[in-house]
Amino acid sequence: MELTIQYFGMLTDITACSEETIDFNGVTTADLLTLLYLKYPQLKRTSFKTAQSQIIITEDDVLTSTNIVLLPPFSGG
Amino acid sequence: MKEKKLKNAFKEGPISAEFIGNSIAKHQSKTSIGAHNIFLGQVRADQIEDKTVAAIEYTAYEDMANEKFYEIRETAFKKFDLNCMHIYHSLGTVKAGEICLFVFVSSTRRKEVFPAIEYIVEEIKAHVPIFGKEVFEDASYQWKINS
Repeated sequence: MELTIQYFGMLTDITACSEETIDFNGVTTADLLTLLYLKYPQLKRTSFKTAQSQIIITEDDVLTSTNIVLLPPFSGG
Repeated sequence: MKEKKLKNAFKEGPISAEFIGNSIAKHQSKTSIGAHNIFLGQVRADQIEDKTVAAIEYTAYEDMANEKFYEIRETAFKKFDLNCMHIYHSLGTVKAGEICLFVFVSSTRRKEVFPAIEYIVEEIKAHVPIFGKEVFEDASYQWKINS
């Protein structure tokens, strides 16, 4: 399955892109994060949340969307 | 599923005093209103070590952000007796001294608008996926962290 991953804020400093597509054969958020930590070891030391369909998901959630978003701490206002 | 219309709360660049003034003027025809309250977020020229913040560049996960603004509006209307509510947040560059957040609530009576504005502003800070990049005068930067 091909996933589109979007990165925001300080995460784009680590990934050097705001969006990319990756091949994914896993099931849960944790499976995806394992893959991303291999690609970007610095992500592991960074605080962020994962969202799909505009909802924050946990590590155990099953990925049902092909569009996944990684969000660092919010700093609006 | 309930049909809902999401407003776009984002404005490119700073929120001008004219825009804020016009928003106030538009409410003069709504004569059941007896109290307005306004919150304006302004970009601070913070000193960090020997550098000064010149501007904040805002980005957002806009789809989710507008969804969250919608939820905050709905909850605020349930919690407080408000006649109307407007929320605007900047995207892109906002220089120190310029306005980046404009929240405007109106009610028949004053007692509703004070807690309402605080609730809305705190909810925005905590739950809306907006990201601020503090750009210093020498063009270096750091990512803003809300305290």
